[in-house]
Amino acid sequence: MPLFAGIDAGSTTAKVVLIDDAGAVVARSIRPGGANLAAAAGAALRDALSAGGAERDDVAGIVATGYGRNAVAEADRTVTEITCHARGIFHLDPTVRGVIDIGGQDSKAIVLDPSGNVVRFEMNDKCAAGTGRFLEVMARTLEVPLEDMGRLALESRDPAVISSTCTVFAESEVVSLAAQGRAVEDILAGLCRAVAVRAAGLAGRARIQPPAVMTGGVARNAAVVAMVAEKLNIPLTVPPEPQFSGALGAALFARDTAVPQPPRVSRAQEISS
Amino acid sequence: MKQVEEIIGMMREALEDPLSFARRNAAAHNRHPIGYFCSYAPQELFYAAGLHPVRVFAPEIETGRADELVQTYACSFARACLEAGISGLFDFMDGVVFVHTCDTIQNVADLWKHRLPHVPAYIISLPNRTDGPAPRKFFRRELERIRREIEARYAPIPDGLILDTARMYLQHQQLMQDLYALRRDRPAVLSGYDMFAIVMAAFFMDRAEHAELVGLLCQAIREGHLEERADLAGRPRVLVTGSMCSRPHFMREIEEAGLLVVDDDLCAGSRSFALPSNLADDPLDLLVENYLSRRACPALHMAAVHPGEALVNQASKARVDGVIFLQTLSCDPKAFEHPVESGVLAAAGIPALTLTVEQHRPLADQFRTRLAAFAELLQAKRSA
Repeated sequence: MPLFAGIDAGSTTAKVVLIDDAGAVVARSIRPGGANLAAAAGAALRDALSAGGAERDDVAGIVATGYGRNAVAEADRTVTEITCHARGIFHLDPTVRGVIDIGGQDSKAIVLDPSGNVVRFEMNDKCAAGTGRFLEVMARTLEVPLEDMGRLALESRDPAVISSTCTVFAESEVVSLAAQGRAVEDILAGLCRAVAVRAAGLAGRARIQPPAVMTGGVARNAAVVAMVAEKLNIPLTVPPEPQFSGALGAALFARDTAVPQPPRVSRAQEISS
Repeated sequence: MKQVEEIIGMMREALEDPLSFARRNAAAHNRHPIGYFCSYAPQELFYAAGLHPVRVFAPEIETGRADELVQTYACSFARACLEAGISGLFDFMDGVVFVHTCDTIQNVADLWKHRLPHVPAYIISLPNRTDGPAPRKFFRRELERIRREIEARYAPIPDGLILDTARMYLQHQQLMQDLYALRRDRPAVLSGYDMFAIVMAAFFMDRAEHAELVGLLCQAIREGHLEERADLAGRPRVLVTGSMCSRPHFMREIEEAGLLVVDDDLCAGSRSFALPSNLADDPLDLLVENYLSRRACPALHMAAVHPGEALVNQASKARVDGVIFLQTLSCDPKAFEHPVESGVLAAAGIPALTLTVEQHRPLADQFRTRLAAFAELLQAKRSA
């Protein structure tokens, strides 16, 4: 059975999803990116093949997406992360109309139509404030494991106010707050709120409506997800593997090229017809 | 067609090194160059005085010295032009013409007078509202005043010469309108980048010579001498609007993303070639009509024209798939107009992408992703 690979070469990690011709996920892999995204993408592809018990020749099509998509030598073609995230999420849940994706370096808000097509999108500007990188830097400063950040932030009863939106200045502010004896969970809650405010602003500009989901590495931070939902006053769900929706979308596009698919129709359209 | 290729090739040179191009053109016509910062500058008066009007755009430049004089939240166009002035890039000009559209450019004009007296500045006020009789009276008085300033420095300018120049400029505007219309019908005969080169060349070349060449291009398109380019045909059609687009790389990046620019709503674009609704026999009245009857710059107001509706009408006329806003960072007048325009576009079902750019810097890598995603969005909308 032919397989199809989607490679999401993001700014901090390379993710790969392998699917079969029915669109079922066969394997996933993730590798830290860093300076050599192309090498990380290649290594992640080998990992996924190994996890799926497959060989390179079993893969009939590869689409790359993400910040480093043009550097992925293995790819047959590229599709932007905006389109891939929308495609991946719509595949998982065709009722979704809004996606808020916060990755390592950029964040995006995407609005989908009932057929899963992108209607409009917004991305953050040049600055890394409000992205995963911001939280990574702060986690390192506070010596808190990144994966514990959200849980600890939710324990805060008195979130600190982080006044600077710049990552560098915010780091100084965090050091200063820690020196003043503020509880770590309060500082973490303040940092998560800073990210959430920017994400909500972005989503507001894109006019995100429910049902909406959060994806990207930051979607694994429960505090940020809860705060964005609160700011937008809409429920937000998180798919089981929020970092892989872009790679999944890319894999689906790879399958389209090799195996023509019928037009995507939402459940609502199926019911109404 | 060899002649057409030569014309376009020559105009592309205007994008590569605008100031040298302008300087060469001025010398070829034995005229002294004079810079102007805004599409509302009455170039005809300076041309009639024997000068060679050259539009000033922001070069790619580090703004260290300008940043000592102007806050960095002032727009990149103002800061980069001031830096270029301080660096001596405009020293070959007989002077520069400022028009008080936004306060930032007015403050740059004031700074210029003090800091760069060797490149004399002419400063022209504009009526804040551009429709109705009172603004016309006001602007006419400004034109009379600026005419006196020019005459005091050079020589008297006969009325007949101003009238002839104004009519020559109008003829050029008509030819540019024709070229825009031809491209709306058959956009793939020229890339948006080449169209931009033709537009920009108008600001640096002798206007009468440019009119002649544009006339030849129009004729070549009408007579079918220009084939539609296969690499451009079928691409999603976009209209570019925004504060200003003075840098060719913006157009190049848009088209490298797989889009085709078929029209623009830029002051350094179609807005500069709008035709007046009324003509007058008096030379200054004709200039007043030419400048004030065009759609108002975002820094000005025109009660009868809704900026969003005007943009939607233009987008519909050009049959575009989407609109791209090139929003100059810190350009307040355009920033205030943007929500109105994007709201009306959304209501009309026309997708729009906003890129906040700086005139003196290259496009950030992120913007390429946005442009590519916008191209995918428009392509998917077409296929749906």
